[in-house]
Amino acid sequence: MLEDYLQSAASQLIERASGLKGKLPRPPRQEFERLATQCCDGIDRAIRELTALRDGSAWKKPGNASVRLLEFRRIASNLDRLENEAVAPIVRSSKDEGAMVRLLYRMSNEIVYPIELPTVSMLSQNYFFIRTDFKLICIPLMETQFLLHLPDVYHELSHPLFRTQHDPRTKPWLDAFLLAKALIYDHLRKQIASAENSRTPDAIKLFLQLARENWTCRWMEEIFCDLFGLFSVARHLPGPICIFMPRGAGPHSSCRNAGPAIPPMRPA
Amino acid sequence: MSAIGFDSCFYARLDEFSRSLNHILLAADTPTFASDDDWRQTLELVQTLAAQNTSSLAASSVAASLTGRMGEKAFWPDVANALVARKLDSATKKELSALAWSLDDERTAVLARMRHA
Repeated sequence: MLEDYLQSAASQLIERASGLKGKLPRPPRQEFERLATQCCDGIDRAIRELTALRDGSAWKKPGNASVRLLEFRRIASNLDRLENEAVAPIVRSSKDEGAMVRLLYRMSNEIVYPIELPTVSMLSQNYFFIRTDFKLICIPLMETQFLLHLPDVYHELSHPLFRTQHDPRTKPWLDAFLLAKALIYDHLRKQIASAENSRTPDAIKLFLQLARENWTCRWMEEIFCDLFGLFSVARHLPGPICIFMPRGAGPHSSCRNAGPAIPPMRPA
Repeated sequence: MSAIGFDSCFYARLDEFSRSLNHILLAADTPTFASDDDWRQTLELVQTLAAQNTSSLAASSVAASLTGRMGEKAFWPDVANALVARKLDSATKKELSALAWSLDDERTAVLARMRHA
């Protein structure tokens, strides 16, 4: 029964995937060029994998039914994401995206943003967020007229910095991130060891373990993104932060005399 | 503020590890099915699970989430040795299969988090 299901479901999914390409706008829109290319590559890969899964003799062995189902679930999930999160914003886009791209370009110039900007969609259903695997920043529809949340835009812009590899433009940033992560991990490891050797309540021990997992997994990245947002807008705000960040200097360069040290984003 | 920025990348990392591990499981019967990259990636994940080191951004974040889901287990060093030798006995295959389903569960959880963030 599973064999029959996978054979027909894979065939249907292949058809659906190729139909998805037909939904992309003709002629292509320049601001979505990179995302559309990525979508086509992802669809091609999924079709290749589905075809192998459906027709490959190794996959069809009864002993491999479990792993075949796992692989099907993985590919189907990827195609769902492509359809709902990448192709849909392209198909439903309007002229607002162009205006936001221009604004983001100006903002990125101001802070000497070190890597290429993400694609913009004005179809956010959840405040500001970024899909780093698609390099797609999603912004609420009315935000072009009520841009009051600059720190959050900068916060989202900093997520892609963690996805870069072998890139001297972001190496100091990633080095600082890994160092911070190692320090917090070591700190919590010692706390956990100390708790194990004392009469610490189980609830606290559990909390410490959860804290270690979450700091290692996601919290540190969010803290770094918050700091990026804070220091990117700080130059526009009156108050103590501006004392450490002279106008005209790169906001990610550390001040020579005082203030919090933010690793420079560009090689010196 | 949404954590989708992290989760969307985390999803991609899970997907890469999941794909490689599925190929490794298949390669237990058909060795040519897994590429060197598949072996390397799976070994990296298992070694990180065994030692909980933080040398690789991708493996450390995925391993941290799996430790919460699977608990810390003593057999990961043995599984790592089997992967280095590229010889999987039935016990190792069983552990890797459980790991593959945990990755699948984690992907479902990430998708839910992204949809309801």
